[in-house]
Amino acid sequence: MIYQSRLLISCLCVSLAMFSIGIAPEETVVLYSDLTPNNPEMYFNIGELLIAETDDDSQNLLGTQFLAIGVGLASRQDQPELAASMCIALAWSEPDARMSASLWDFALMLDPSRYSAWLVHRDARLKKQAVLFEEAAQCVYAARFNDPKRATELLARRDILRALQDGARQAGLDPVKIHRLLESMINDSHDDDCRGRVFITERSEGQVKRVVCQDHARPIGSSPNEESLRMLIKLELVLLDGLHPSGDAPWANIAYLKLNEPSREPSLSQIADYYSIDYARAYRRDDRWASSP
Amino acid sequence: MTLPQGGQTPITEFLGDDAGAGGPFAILGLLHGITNDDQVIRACNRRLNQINRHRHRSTPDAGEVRLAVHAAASQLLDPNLRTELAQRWPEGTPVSVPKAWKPIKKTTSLPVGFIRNARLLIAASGGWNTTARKRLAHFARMNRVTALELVEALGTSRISKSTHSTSDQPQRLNQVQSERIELIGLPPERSLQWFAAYSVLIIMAASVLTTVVISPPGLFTDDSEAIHTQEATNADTQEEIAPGSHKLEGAGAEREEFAHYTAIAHELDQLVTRSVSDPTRSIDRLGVVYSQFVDSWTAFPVPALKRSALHISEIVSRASKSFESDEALNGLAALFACDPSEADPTKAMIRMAMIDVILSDPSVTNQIRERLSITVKRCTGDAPRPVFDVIESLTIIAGLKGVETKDDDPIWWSHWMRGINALTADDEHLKTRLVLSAMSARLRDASPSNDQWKQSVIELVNAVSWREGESARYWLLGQFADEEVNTQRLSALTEALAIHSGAQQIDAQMILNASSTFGQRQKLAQAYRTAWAVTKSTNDKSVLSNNELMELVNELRIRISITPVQLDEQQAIAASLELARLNTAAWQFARGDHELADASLKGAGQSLSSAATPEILKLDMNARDIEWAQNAMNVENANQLSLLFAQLVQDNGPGANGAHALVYLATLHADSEIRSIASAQIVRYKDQASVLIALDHMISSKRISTRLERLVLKIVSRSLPNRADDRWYGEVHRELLMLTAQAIARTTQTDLTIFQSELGVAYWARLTTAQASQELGSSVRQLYQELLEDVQATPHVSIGLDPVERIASVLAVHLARSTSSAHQFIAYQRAVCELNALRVDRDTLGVSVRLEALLGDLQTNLDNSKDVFGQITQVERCIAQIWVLHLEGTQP
Repeated sequence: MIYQSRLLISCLCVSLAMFSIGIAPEETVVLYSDLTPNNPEMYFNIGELLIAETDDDSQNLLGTQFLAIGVGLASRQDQPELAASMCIALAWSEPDARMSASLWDFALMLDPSRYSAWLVHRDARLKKQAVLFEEAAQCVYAARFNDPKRATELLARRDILRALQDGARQAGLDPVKIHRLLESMINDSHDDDCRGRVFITERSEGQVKRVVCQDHARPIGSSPNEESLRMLIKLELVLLDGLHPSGDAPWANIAYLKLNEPSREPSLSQIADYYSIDYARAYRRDDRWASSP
Repeated sequence: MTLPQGGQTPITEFLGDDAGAGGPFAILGLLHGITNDDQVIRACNRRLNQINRHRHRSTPDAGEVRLAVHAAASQLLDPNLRTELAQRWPEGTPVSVPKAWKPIKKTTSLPVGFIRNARLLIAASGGWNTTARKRLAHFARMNRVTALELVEALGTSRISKSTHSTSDQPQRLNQVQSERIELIGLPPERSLQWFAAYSVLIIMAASVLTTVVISPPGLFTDDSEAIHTQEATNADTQEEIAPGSHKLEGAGAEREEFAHYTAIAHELDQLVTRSVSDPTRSIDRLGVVYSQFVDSWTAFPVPALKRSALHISEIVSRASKSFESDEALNGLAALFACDPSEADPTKAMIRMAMIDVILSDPSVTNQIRERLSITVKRCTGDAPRPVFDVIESLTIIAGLKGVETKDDDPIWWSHWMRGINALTADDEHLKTRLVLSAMSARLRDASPSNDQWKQSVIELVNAVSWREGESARYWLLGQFADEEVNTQRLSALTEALAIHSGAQQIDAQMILNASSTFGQRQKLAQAYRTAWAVTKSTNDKSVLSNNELMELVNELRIRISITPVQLDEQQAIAASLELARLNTAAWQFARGDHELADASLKGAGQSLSSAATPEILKLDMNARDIEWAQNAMNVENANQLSLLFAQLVQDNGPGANGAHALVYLATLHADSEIRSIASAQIVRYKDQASVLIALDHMISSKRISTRLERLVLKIVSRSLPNRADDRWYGEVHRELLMLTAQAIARTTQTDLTIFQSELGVAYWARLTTAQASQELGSSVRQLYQELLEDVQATPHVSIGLDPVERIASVLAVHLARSTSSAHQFIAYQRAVCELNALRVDRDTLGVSVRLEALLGDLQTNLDNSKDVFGQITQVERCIAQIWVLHLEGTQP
């Protein structure tokens, strides 16, 4: 009798345990033990899996790191097609439009057969952000041409502010300096009754005359000084994607706008820096990247 | 193929001595002038019939000769291959009437006594009746001839006999009658033989029966014993079929070894057909044939090699589709495994090349593809390079092996040369190119020269031609001039050249001392140059060209050596311009424009023209500007306005407010005359920042008039969308912003504008086709196009990706990332540099390694450059280095 009871209890316990296992939330299990740098394709598979199956930012970052390491490994093992595929996967998951374009560029350099895809997708995300960048450029324009109302409205928007910061960085300018400059220009314009008009109508002795508005602190369309004007023109050009002149454009511009940065192409080291990875530490152990399995 | 006694080959045994002269024409007995395929097919049938009528037609040798005939026919059916083979092999002796078919020929081989006995047999049977036919058939079979042959022989004999005189007929009749008695029974000797044979058979039957009863077959445990027993029972058959071997249709027994490449080629031909119905067994057979193909591919003529490679690829492709289990797939992949320790590089070359060919077949399954890729990776460390043409793949692999090896072993190099000779049988230029590239690499090995290298270099030196005008001479001069070349190794080369080769004008005094300094080496180089140039340059013009060339090369070398990586903007401009002008001289020299080249060379060192005086930026608000603007805004007629323009001339344009006034008058004033003259002033001062800013202000108004649109078009000077288009404002604003930046830039002192212009002239002068514009941007684009067409005109044997495609895609990336016209220029400039390297690699022998090194150095220098102008200098420097290689490699 006692034996039967024990047996019954044991069966119940086992059933309960099995039931518990059955209803427990299933976690994504990724086996890292098989990971080996000799097989970069595994990094591709795991990276895509992590990015596709999770909304968790940390898992997403881990997925991009897998892909980024995979790009380096495949590229070094002379597997350009695989490296290019991983680069493109990385580009899809990359939120920054410019970095995404860079990854597309790198993919094309690795594998020229991706040209048609590159043509279609390389600038797709840049075009989406172009609308926002154009509004940010309008903010700069409004500030230059003494339209404080419009400039203030735009500057108050968080997305515009971020676009201005991104544009400033791309132009090699200090975003903080730019923000301060715009604010000071807007504030100065608030004291200007002419509000963007160059000429006002003045009546004296029965005659109507057009005179230059004397409230302007600076000429319309310019800025407080030459240096700030250079910065604002460069920023506006970057925001409007206007730095792609024809090949015959004069080089004097380059000196003025300080566009003489060396020509750089995307590289593995750029990817490693951006995704905080080290190709020598390609094994995943104890939730860290390690140099050995 | 076993050699019969007396040194007679199976081919001569079966087809006659003429067929053994060598080559497919002799085998088929055909002349070189084959006009149609029917001739070949008929010849093939003739030969096969000849074999079928031979008394040893059932032997393995006959099967092998059949294979050779089939292979010869399949080769000659290909017109291209036929032409190729006609150059290598002698004509055959035509067999207009196939002798083998002639019954008379056969009957002569039958002994007279034999025919007589047959005739007596007929007589003994009572004449030509059913009994006689049966007896004759038995008689023929016993004597190993066909009944048909015997009957034909008897017929011929009868005809010949009929011509005999009738005088001896009684004697003949008597003889027949006397022999008839003997033929009624069996002939005595024969009877004894038959008796003995039957006795043996009975004994054997009894022993077999006894064995079966006492010890049944199931009790045999040793298979080999059973096989031996079986062989014993078949001892009287001449066909020896190996246990477990498969018989090919119509090909006789399968051979394990092939002495001639045609047999391998034919075997592969048959395996392709067989692989459709029986892929498993065809792969088993391929295992045997492939190993011998690997061993003897160097004996194959190029077209036959290509054909066989495609056959192998097709067999693998078919098998890969039908194989499913890992075991079968692994077995298939294992056929192509490599042996890293293999001493013979030709075997490794063909193994890797075959994988490349197989992988180029899109129908090969992914499972096999992966396995073969792993094999390549394991063997070479590189990814496979799928190439359809086995010769192309072999060229790449052989070139790489020659360049990458660190081995000086003469045996290794002897094998390598055998491979090179096989794959370049019809391309002496390619052979020279590969050998010189390999020597270039070995000469740059820092390890000291040794006896092995001294032996190897003799074979390499003798593999290329050193005759007058040959590229190898110029290549050697380049080696003297290169500091990276190991003097000891170069010394061994000069020794081989002077003592062991037939190079003219080179004697023992021109052997480089192994301990020479670079300066001494250069002196000896001059001696070589003089020795070879004297024979080449016999007229004044050539001598003049040589002097110019020397000067140009010297100038290029000097400029290259004094150009550092880190340069400030002014240094970069000066260096770039001088290098660009020298490169232009090289371009002109290379295309034969010696006078232009001379002028460019002399003007290379000219300093930059002085920059234009900077303009004054007028964006401030001063009283004079305000007054002028107010006056202009309040004019009542055109005359009043015209009077005001005098001040604009005096001030060299309107100020900030004056510009706004002018734009207002030109676009919004009611008086058309005022609008017109205001517009004229705007166009006149369109380069002023104040005017551009005022115009930019005006276009932001909600209504864009036709007048404003026209005015903008005059300022922007390029096509724009219609003003009703949403894009109009954005494009105009962006353009005006850029023009404003340019206008302000003119107010600062810079040499960049002049530099751009001078560089434009230098690039324009390089163009082959005349172009009106000397703008730098359009000139460099045009030069890129010219080079692209030139390089694409000749297919380039490359490793991995198509280099032209790679250059084009990298250019696309650089252009997409460019942020200024200077960045666009350098994108094209780099593409020009790389295309020029491809062209020089094509035209100059033995420079591949150095070109690769130069382009590698360029990338490093570009990464280390501080700005885009420093990068432009580095690219121009690399172009100069490439020109030095080319000029030294192709000119004496």
